[in-house]
Amino acid sequence: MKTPNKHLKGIITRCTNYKESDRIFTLISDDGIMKFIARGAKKPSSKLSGHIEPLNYVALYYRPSKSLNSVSQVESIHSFLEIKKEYNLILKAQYMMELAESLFSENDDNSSILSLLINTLRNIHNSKIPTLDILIFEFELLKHQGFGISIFDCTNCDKELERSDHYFSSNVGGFYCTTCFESKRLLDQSVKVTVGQQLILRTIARKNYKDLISLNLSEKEISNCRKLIQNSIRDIIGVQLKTVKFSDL
Amino acid sequence: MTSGKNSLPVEVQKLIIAFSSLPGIGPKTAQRLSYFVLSQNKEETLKLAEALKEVKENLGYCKTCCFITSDKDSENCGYCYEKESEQICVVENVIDAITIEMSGIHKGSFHVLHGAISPMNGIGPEKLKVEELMKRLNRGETKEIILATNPTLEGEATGMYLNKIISENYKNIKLTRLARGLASGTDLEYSDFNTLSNAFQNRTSID
Ligand SMILES: [Zn+2]
Ligand SMILES: [Zn+2]
Repeated sequence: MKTPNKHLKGIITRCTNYKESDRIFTLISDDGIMKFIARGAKKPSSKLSGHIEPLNYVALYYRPSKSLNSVSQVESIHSFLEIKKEYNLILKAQYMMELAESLFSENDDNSSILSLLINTLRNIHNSKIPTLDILIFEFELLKHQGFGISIFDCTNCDKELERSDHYFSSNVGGFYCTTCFESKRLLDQSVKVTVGQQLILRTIARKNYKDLISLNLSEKEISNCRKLIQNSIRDIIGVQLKTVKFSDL
Repeated sequence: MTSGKNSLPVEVQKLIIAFSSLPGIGPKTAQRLSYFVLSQNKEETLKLAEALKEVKENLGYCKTCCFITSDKDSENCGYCYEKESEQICVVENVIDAITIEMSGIHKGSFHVLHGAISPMNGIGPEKLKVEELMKRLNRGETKEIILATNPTLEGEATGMYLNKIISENYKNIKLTRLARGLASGTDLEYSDFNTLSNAFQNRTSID
């Protein structure tokens, strides 16, 4: 008896050609990161062909298999054409897909990763400062996956941080108050973060995205905040993502 | 129980593994091919071995158009020597150039990038033969660049990148790209003549 077809929705993150006319692709979905084979998809006549491309949000039917799941039907829900028209946005989108992949965990509930990714991809082409969208994406993604950065209190003594420059440690994923920093002297592992940068992160943490616009942020300020988060990401996943250098950091 | 394959002489095992690295060849076919080689006369087999060796040892890339050539030390290869570089068709790989050349649609020369921009695989423009293309354009002979990268996300990204740097640095060069007659998600290599021909005829300006 044949196994029944299963249905799944997700974003295609990677594609490679296989044999004469097949394509193997990776899908990030609520059910996890899965690999599929689309037989004959490279042929122009194939019904699958136009749909199997990275950065497509698709609905598909597949037959579960012990080796590679084979798809029987794939349809695009959203192709993010506005992103695909702009070189810089493509690079940013690829970075977000790689980041989402790398923070996916086998055992936890990952449902928010996909919706966060889709939402950011849907809106980034309308954004005045796309790097700000990426910063928010990075921040939220870390939080969802249990690596949230503590912004308001000292990560060592829990005391509320007063308004001044503080030191951020990517190791512990948070800030030290002045006293703790003095006693710990963790200069080598910590970076100084200005009041301005802290304000950006606090505003994001409070989800006051509208207020971010009125802050009149410069690319430089956003980039500095992203560097902090980037250090945390590197500490969490243990490697540097391949797409980072293409994402305007 | 011992597996039959492991009791084979190491030489045969190595041959089977080598055959399985080829596209479209699974373990079964690799075994069949290996047994065929065993039954083949020595001269025939050595001819094949020699051809494989020569292709890797003697071939290099043309300094100008980056197509494969056996004349590594000369500035031009047979592929670009006789063709004028007034019109250069930029493709991702050698097979794409051959496919277009065989169709007879394009009379100008080619430039092979040897890949496409692919951030997820760590491939940026610096890993492609972009600098070589710029060197060609610096000679001032080129009037038109036809961007014939694949209509895939990576191919399109590569086209956009080239469009940007060429239009910024070479104001007098006309930039075109193949019309979207080609289905997205497929490779040039597999397109039929009609599709390819239409795509060439209907190429559009990039503005
Ligand atoms: Zn403290
Ligand atoms: Zn040449």
